[in-house]
Amino acid sequence: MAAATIASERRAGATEINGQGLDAWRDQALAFEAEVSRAVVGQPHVVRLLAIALFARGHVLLEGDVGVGKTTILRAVARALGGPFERIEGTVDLMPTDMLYTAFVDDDGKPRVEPGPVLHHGENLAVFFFNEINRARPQVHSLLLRLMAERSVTAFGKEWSFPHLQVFADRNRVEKEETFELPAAARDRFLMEIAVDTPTDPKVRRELIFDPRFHDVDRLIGSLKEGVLDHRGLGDAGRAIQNTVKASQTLETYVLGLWDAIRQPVSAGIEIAGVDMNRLLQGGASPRGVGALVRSARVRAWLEGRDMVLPEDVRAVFGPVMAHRIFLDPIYEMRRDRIVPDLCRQVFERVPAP
Amino acid sequence: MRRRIAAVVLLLAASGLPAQAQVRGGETYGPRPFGVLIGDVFTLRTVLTADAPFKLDPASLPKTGALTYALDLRRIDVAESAGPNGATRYDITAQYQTFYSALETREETVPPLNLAFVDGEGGRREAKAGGWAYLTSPLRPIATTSGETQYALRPDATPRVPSLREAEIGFASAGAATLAALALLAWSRAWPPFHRRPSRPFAAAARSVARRAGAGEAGWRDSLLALHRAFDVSAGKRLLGDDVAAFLGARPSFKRHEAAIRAFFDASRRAFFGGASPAASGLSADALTKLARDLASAERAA
Repeated sequence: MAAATIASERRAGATEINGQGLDAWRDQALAFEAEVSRAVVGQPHVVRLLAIALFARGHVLLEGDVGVGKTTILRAVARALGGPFERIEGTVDLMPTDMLYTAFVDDDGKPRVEPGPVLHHGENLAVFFFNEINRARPQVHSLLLRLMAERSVTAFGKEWSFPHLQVFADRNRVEKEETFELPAAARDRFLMEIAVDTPTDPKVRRELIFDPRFHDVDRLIGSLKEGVLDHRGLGDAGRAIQNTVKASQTLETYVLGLWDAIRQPVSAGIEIAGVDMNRLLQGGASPRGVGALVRSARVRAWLEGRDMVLPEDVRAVFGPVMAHRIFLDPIYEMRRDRIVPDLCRQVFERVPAP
Repeated sequence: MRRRIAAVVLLLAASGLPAQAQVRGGETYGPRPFGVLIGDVFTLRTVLTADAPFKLDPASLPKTGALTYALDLRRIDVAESAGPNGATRYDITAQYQTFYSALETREETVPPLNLAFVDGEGGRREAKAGGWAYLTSPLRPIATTSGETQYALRPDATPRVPSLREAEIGFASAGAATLAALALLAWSRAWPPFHRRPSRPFAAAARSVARRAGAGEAGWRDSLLALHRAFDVSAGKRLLGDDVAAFLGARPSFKRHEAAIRAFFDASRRAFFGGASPAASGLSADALTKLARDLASAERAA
């Protein structure tokens, strides 16, 4: 029995994607991380999470203060990933059609409508980068929702599908004026919500401020090697990873235990100071969310060079994958930044592994 | 009638003239003046009235101490009050003690006080007052003669034995209340024996591992789990393999077994998450038992 399992693993491990095995893909992924880290210093965990999101084929929302480098990170990722890249800035008057169509008057004075940002590169679009997503209206969010969930849109009377598309969005958490909070359904569509904080390491801070390399973002991004990863192979590689990396029965029990604990924190014995645990949660931690958790954990295990998922993998991706899918009672929403990390930490302190 | 008129005329004439200022009175009041024994203390009170502008010169009062060879003045107090026509009334209280050992009844005297009164302008009057005489009595032993039964010692009266029950009950209940209060205090302050004794999770795990490790694959897995739970209790949270370094940093006593602990977590990963058999995990039952024993002893040493 054991021998048969190992044999099937060997076959899966040797899966050829675009002419290379998963090990070669891992080397590429690590090279990709190294390349992005040249432009993004002091944020290794953010780069690792973005790499996980790429191979888990999930969309990512970056959140953080103004000027911490959210846009730079995403531009660096898009550059190192290669493939067609398009970006749009969220504004309060942006309409869904603005994403699909560009209307202008041509040289002959005739009005013309051409494919907009989303359709500009055709169905080969690799990265769609939505800047300041919370400045856009809910109509735009709903179009984006379809683009993210189904990787398709309808325009010019036909269906466009984007098999390689990955949506990156960012949002600053300082401003609340003239912004539209993302609906729960849209947030659930993001595989991860990654918090980008100011680096704390004094050496990195000094480098960021004084090294002229970081003053010109365009040149910084331009200096990165382009297309370190083949974006067209990511889908197949992601599938191969999911098939190859094992999640044992013990791990399944563990993840279910985590899920139960996050949905019913009281029965797991979780207590947070100043919070009535019975009314804390309004919902969330959806099956889609837990599925995304396992998917991300598998990719993380693979990036760490393992063929089995460990609780450590689940823990490493739990916050980014699950925190934004937990919906709190409105009276606790204001203290979300403190409560949700505490809740996640305690879940891992309570649920036994193995 | 004529004599009466003469007396009135005489009186009027007397009041019209400036009267010769003088010291009047000097009566002394004492206790009964007999039966005074050696060591007795008695108080004499002398009352005097000095006409204005005369005042008693306090320096003329005798000092306390021995007055005669057998008489001590113990204290002397003067109370002053206003008398008629601006006169001053002095009430002198003197306390004496006699040490005269009389062999027979005999009269003794207290010498009078030589008091001086001055008017502040060189005028001076003297007065003697406060003398007293009394009879002292000798101390005599009681004469007893043998055979006089009325003076023989009589048997002691049987003492009444009051019941101490109430006091005993009070004492016992107060003692019990004190003990209970102390116990309550000790409990609330977590003093011994209510203090939290350091739990010994590895000791329990070592016993369980010693019992089960050899009992096939199921026993081996149970032993791994028992050790995992011991690590959890010791760390105060669920301890994963990646946390071992931090765990050892906080508990130096386990540091000696770092290699074995890492091997344990490695084997546990392979067994539980990689589906490996005990043999393939690289951690034999003996090694597991030894690790559990070592950890328990390191825990005791901590």
